Amino acid sequence: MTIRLIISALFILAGVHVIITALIGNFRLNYVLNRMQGGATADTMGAILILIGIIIKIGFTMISLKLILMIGFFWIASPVASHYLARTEVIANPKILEECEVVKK
Amino acid sequence: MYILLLLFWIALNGKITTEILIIGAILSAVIFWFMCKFLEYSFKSEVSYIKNFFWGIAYIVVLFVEMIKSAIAVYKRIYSRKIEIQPQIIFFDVDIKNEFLRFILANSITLTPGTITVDVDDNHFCVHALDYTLAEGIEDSVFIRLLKKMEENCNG
Repeated sequence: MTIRLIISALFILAGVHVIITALIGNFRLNYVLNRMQGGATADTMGAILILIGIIIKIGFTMISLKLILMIGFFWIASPVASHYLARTEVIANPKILEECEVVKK
Repeated sequence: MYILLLLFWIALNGKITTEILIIGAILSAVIFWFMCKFLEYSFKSEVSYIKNFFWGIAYIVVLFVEMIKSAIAVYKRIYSRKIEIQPQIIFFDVDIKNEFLRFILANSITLTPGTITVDVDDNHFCVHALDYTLAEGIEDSVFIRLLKKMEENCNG
């Protein structure tokens, strides 16, 4: 029991650390798209690590099945949201070439 | 997909009894009929999904490992004292014909920290990367190789 508690605590702490890092990244980076890179990790890695920690804590029951479903929805929904933000920024910003170099392959 | 719907119903109910199983079977049959009729699902595509089941699990594991690797690379840049990054927008082509697999590829590029899919137009991808080293070899990454194998499985 205590080993399970320790492992789940480690996972939850890692998730919280990921979210704090995303927050710091949001303030330290300087341009919209770069800031999104920092912030987008929070809702994928952070949320998933915290959910895995909770799943390990309560063991495999129906509730943990619902939590696994939540992970699936996070993985589908959050990339779509950040993709739309990025596309709006690239289309709407006329000075995009000053911020990042464009490579075609 | 029918089995997935049934599993979803059971997960939402929280327990397994005969009543719940019978009602769930009827409901998921109705929803599956609706999907076949309006969302371009069919028994043929079901077979290809079942064939790719184990590849899908392998893909999720690979995705998780890649996410952790690139998360570490991004955190190094965030915590370094002076931020030195060269953001980049890359255009590249992918020869994957299945639309669903292309959608999975775009989503997993966005899920890995450090890269965001900006635009997908047929098989032209447009990706923004935080640093040019994170985008190296993106047009020949592990994801694309795995997805190509899955597509071959679908067809043959």
